[in-house]
Amino acid sequence: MRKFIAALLLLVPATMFSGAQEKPDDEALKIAGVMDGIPVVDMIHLAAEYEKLSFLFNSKTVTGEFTLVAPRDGITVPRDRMFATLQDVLAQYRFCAVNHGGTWVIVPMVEVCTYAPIVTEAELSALDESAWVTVMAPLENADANAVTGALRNLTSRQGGVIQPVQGANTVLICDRCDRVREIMKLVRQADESARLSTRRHALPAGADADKYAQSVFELMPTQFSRSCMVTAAPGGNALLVTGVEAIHSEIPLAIEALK
Amino acid sequence: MKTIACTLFAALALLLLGATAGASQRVKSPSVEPLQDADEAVLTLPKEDTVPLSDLIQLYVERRGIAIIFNPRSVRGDVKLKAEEQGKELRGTEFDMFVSNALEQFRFVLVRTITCWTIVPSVEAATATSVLTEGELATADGWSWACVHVALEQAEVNALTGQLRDKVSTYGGLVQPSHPNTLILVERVDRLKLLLPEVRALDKAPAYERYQTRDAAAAVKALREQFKGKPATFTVDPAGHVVARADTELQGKIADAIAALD
Repeated sequence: MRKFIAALLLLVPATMFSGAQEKPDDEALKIAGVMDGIPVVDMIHLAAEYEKLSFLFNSKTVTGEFTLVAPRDGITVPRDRMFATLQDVLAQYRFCAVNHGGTWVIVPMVEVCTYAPIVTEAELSALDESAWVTVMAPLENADANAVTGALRNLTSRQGGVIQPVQGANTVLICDRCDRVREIMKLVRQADESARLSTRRHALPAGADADKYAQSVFELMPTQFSRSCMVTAAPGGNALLVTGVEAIHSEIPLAIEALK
Repeated sequence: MKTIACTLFAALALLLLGATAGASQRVKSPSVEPLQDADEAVLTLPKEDTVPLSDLIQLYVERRGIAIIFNPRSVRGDVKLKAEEQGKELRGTEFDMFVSNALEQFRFVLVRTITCWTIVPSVEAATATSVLTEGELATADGWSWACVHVALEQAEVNALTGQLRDKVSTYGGLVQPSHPNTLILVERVDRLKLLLPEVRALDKAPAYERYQTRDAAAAVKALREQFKGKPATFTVDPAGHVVARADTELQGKIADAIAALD
């Protein structure tokens, strides 16, 4: 195995140099073999050159090295993906680049939510997925505190934030755009699961609707009874039930058991 | 070796910076490197060997045609191999699974990022996985990690979370109750595929049973107290019987309790 690695390393310079010389106008960066101990600062330099961006950072804190392993034959990183690659590298050391007043500033991830721009959910799909953003997601059905608690472990470590906005039943999410999109899928699924609907459930002929309503409600488990309402339907031998989707398949079973 | 690699990279950087200085037009690229055909990737295992993790990663990218970024200070260690026969071949997803298992030995997972792949600690898997539907999960690679949102029909989510917490990976697996009665699961896809049928089995419809007692109202009051915190509910039907909603296992205990009350 060691011999193979040694052979691979010898091949790397040949591939790298030939790739660069054959296509001097190539806009993509070709990477090949094992590149061990690359300073993070060099990656910032590459991203600045390729993407024509300016970066501002504290050279005493933004330090470290990373390893990039690519196939011997090489793969290409298009120039418009260099910034995203830089974000991946910076994330290894809990840093990220954010646009602050027209300049890209490299900040610790724990501070990023103080810089990230606020965007709408609709804008999210058109944004660069490597950018850090803050999204306000109003909820129609689910409770913002409960959703926040459930999704707290899914945000990026040391930087990703999810918070409920008190009084507005809204969750505020700050994370990298690609991560926010994934979290938003869960937010929307949770919101949809909490949607309440009202349906009429027929009772046996001659049944006392008020007594049935009370008994059916008492039979509902806590996960349903918290958000469920069972009343006698006006003018008919039926129950009017408001609750989440699952409860409507449960009500006929309860009515059957009470017959 | 490290110095050589640094020098090589510096040379490459200088060359490429020079080469691209004149370039002005930018090409939008949707992706950097697609994963090669799964059947093309083959690893031949020796009968017995100790392989540094970095070498295994290198072999993997070579066969797979992908690029992986990682922090060399944290991703390190030796994997001990013991194959049953000389020259055992791992093909396609077997190779992926082998690398995934090797990384798991050191509490790491391989995850896709925006431009390439990266290795992150297992405990951070939940922060890097894709959210899949149960339908998408069926076609997902077994070695990759995923997050699914499961809406429960009958089971109480906190009770179910307690039952499942010990069944997910200690490092990286996540069972999180969500609102209103849903479950978020993060796990490696192969284990997730085993876990989901178990969730569905535990989410089975409860049984409704009717019990004859001398004083139904008093019995219901006593049963509610006795089965507090358990997934069981009670009421009195129009004919004066106790009606209990619980799973079949708990119904047996309810029957015993009612017999004791009388």
